[in-house]
Amino acid sequence: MVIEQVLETFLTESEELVKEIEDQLLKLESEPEDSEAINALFRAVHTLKGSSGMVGISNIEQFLHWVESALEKVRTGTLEFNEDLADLMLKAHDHLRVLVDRINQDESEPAAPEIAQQEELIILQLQAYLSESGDKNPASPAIKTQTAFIQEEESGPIQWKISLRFKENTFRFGFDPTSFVTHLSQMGEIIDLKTNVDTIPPASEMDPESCYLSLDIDYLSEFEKKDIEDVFEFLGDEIDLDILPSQPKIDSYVKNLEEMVEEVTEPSDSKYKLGEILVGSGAVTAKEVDSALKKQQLEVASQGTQPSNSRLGELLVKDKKVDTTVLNRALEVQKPIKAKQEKVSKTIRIETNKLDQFIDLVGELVISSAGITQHSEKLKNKSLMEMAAMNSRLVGEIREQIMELRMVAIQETFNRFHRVVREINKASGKKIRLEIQGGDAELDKTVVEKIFDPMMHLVRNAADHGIESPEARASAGKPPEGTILLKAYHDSGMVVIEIKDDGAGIHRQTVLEKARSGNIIGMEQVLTDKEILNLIFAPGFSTAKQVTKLSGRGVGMDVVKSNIEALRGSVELESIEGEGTTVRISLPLTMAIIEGLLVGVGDSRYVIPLEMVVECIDLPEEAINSTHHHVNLRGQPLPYLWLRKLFEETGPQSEEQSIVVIKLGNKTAGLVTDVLYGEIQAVIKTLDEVYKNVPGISGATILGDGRVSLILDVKSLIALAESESLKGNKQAGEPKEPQLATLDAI
Amino acid sequence: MTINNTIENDVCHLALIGDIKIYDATRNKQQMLEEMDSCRAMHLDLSQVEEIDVSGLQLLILLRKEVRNKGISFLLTGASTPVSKLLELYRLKDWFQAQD
Repeated sequence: MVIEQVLETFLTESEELVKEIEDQLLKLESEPEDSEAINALFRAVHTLKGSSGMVGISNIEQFLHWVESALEKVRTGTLEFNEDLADLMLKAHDHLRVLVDRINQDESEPAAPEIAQQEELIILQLQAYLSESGDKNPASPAIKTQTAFIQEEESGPIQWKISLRFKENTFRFGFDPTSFVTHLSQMGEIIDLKTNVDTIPPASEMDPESCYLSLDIDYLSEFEKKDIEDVFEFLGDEIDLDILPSQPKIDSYVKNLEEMVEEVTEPSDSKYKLGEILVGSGAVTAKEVDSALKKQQLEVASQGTQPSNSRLGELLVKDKKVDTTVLNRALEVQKPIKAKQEKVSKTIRIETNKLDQFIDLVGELVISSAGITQHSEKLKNKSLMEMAAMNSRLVGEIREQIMELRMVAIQETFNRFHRVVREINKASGKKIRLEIQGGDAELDKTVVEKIFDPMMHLVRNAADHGIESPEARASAGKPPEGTILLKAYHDSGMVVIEIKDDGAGIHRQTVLEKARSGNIIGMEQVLTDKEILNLIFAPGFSTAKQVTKLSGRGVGMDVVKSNIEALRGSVELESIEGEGTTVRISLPLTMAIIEGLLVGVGDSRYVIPLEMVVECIDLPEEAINSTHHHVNLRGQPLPYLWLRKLFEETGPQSEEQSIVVIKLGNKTAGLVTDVLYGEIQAVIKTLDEVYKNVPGISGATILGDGRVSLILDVKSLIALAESESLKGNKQAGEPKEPQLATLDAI
Repeated sequence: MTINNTIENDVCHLALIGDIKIYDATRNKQQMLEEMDSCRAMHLDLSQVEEIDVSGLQLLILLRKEVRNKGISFLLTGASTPVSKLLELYRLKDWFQAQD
């Protein structure tokens, strides 16, 4: 049904618009003078209001009417966007969110009374702002808009000749021209106005309910043509509008056109069309182009002529929508703009579950293709093998490109924390600044969504337990404003997210006491610094001296850790008392299919994620029977593990074993294997709960011949190799190292 | 709206009272033009007009034009604030009051 489709489109659009509203509000809060933000905000509210009206969701429409009116005043400079108004606007956004969510969930039950009350409260406050900002003040600076492409120089207000012809049904549609004229006068100065009394016919013909109002106005304003046109937007076709710029404005349009060729940055396949170019320069509005195009279409239909640029241009000039010089320049610039546009790519929207289905299929394709390759090798048919190899290669490329589709920059997730930090500042009275670095690091979409909750907890912890009050910071010689840094970067096949604060750091003594009193460790147990920090992740641990509203009882850290591990990631802590704490989350780049190195140990096959493989070396003679667990690799000791021993393999041992050198972060280790089979693409199948805590395994895959092969977990293997090699040193009589607590192993 | 018309020696002292808005536009037009017939001169008092919208403004313009065309002399003797504001906004005060 058409209505459902429209509603669906509305729901998608409204999601974006509500988000845009919040984003722009936060921007404006820190930069109240940002004219782009205020215009973007106004547009979003205005569009959402219109759309909800169109689909009949009048409660949203009516609510937004007030928001829009207030924003209008901000836009024209009659109302200041101060902190209180920002607060109110954010409340309004939250209420809007509630309203939209109710639509999304198809709530047919009447809303709770608090919702209606909240709405009333907000509207009352908005109305207060509307009446207090009073009437127009032509002397107050109107906020200038900027066209999408061009930076305009700071020029003074420009003169326009505006002619308004309200059409005869104006009154019947419920409009009063005076409100529009008044609005116009608030956005600039009406230097001169002429009411054309001749348009009113003699008494015998004059219809008292029809509108004959015709005005010619000399107008001074800093606003753009589009903004002036927008004043009359609601009239739609019930008005004929001519907005003619004065000469200086015409000159600036020509200049804009000339600059446009350089400024082409947005992807679009239509911006080189004449209409678009003219709109981009500010010389005509979209509405004017649309109506000229319609006229052109009628001509084409009735006269059978071909649609052409020059005709479109002529129509626009004829209707006095554009000056001839501007038009000519636009025609000249068209070709170079088109050339530049063709370099830029297009975008398309797809539903994520369609993409997921696609990925599953590709996964199956990878397995099946591996099977073909294997069998072709058995048959030893050369041309078949070649085909199979080509097939493999192509499937590999498909896999790579598909995985990229799911990648999403983490910037948006990071941005959500602006709001969080803002609320924290208000509630706690602390001064905390949020800094973001590396927002363009990309992650799989699911991971990005799921990492928000753990991050939220960590940021709240940093704000609540980490950053001290301004007084405490001052007496510690720190700047009163604390900083929380969110940083993301790629490192050897992983994405690393850091949450770093310059607060009080983690107090080791407190942690120890808490762990002891909670019976997590024994009273006499001696721990390394790292072990102490890791106690924070133990279940049942809490250092909160005070239970605060923000971070709860601090019992969440173990949940944070397991949430991250569920994403096949890991988390670690670094902290310097008095200086600050860094939480580092590492997450794998790809979720479903990885490139791996297939190795054989005994009778089994194992897959090592290729991204973490550095090199493969022959196992040196002396290592075979030694108790030391490291070899000398180019002057550096490399701890290694016997996979045979680790996984208790009993099959035949090869004469020439190899060490596969793996690396994660700055740690390396070696894994001793019997056979190196080569690179494969492995579709990761997750293992059941039972296997989750087995160290060294992170999943499984099905090989081309149907065998199951376990995928090795590089991180735990490296840790294990380290600890084995330390043990080995101990046995050989070297200085004693403390036992690694079991907490660390998994 | 209601109309009070006091006629003295063919001079109409015409007072428009109340609202001149779209809702009664047809009736208002009829009333206003009827009063015109009996005048050689018209003194128009708009000081008792309460609310007026553009449809009302149009009627005033119509009245003024008709009066002018019929050679009836015209004097505006009073204007309430709403009327004044409207005439100012549309820059019609001078035209309205002009004698010719």
